[in-house]
Amino acid sequence: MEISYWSVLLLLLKLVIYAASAALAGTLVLRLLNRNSKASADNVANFNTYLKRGALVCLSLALIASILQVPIEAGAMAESGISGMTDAFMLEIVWQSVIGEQALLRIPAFLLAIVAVSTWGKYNPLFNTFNVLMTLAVLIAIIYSFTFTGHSAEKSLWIKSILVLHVFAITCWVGSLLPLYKSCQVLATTEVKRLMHQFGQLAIIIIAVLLASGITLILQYLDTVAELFTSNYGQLILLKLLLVSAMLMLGAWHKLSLVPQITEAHHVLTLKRSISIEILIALTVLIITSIFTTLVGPPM
Amino acid sequence: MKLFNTVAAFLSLALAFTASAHVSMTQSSPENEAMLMQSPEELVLTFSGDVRLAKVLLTDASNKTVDFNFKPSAQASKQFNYKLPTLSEGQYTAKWIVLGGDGHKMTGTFTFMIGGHGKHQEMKKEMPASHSHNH
Repeated sequence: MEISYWSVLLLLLKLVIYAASAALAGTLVLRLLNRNSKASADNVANFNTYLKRGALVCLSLALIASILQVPIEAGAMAESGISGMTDAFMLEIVWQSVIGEQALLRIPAFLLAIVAVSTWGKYNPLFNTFNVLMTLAVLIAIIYSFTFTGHSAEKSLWIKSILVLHVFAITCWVGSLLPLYKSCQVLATTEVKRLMHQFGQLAIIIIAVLLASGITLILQYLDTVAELFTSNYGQLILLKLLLVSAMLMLGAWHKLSLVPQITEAHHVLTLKRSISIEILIALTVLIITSIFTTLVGPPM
Repeated sequence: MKLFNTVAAFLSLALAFTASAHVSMTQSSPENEAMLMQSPEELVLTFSGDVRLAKVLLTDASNKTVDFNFKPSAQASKQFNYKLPTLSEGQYTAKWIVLGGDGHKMTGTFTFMIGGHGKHQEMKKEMPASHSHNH
């Protein structure tokens, strides 16, 4: 199997786009959870500034990645060094393929996401409602663009819709972890407890959607349950399931044990450490997914 | 550069035990490892699904490229035909690069030989052409 520098570059681009989608979803979730916060204005303002800056950095990098994807794919196709990135024939081939369609959706979507995040909290409540809806629409468009390429490219619209729902749930969960970790540093103990409790309530819905859509997708992609164990693709799904189960157990521990116990700062510290472990597992899942959605397919 | 090498080595290792359902080349003319009595009139590549053909490189035994007016095809198709010039005796290798309908890059090679030295019929071996996919 031939792996070139182009392959590594393209996987890095994919990771950046995954990370930006998670950042957008996570900041949207935290923004909604924080909307009725009665805590000290300074604390909440600091936290919101952190959310905004983090999302903007990720989205800007993803915009650059989306712009670079077509010439980098062209360079990979041409196999003639850096100059292949400007090869007119290769650029035309890539542009007319699903990669071009993906870029055509992603570039304006990331641009709109940057506009939406930049204008968060500005102007009147009506504008803010519009802003939330726009962010949500843009997020779904970005997630939908994942179905253009790879193993879901030739699936029916309803399978693609389930995949969108699945990825939407993942991005909401994974994307919320870093802001929740940050909230332990920035917000007051009572505010952290309130936020974590609310997130715990929402997480029940997120995980229900994640599992239901995940099981449906497994049944669609694999012909028999045995393929989960016998095919490489199935084994990778099992590895992902194992890691996600570890995240679920950590989440359950947070919700049922750590969060109800929060009364003092050192309780928040324990929660913060535990969230950092969850983030590491989530990163591993993201890296595994970005590698294997690109390079490994379901059994024929 | 070291980081790239490490990541590339890791990916190669990861792929050593993987299989995929990507589009593949199902047939070629001349077939892989065919031994021909005379120069083939055309080169035909057939794939399991619609692909965009980015490159076909035909080289002789001394690694010299044969010019057959190849033009990349931005139009997706399952089959591509190219008229070949008269080829002299010897071994030839065709390397192809396509972009599949799922956006995956696929590459592959196949070889054929011209000049049977006393053989009067075309012989085909069962060995499949090699192909791989990557980005």
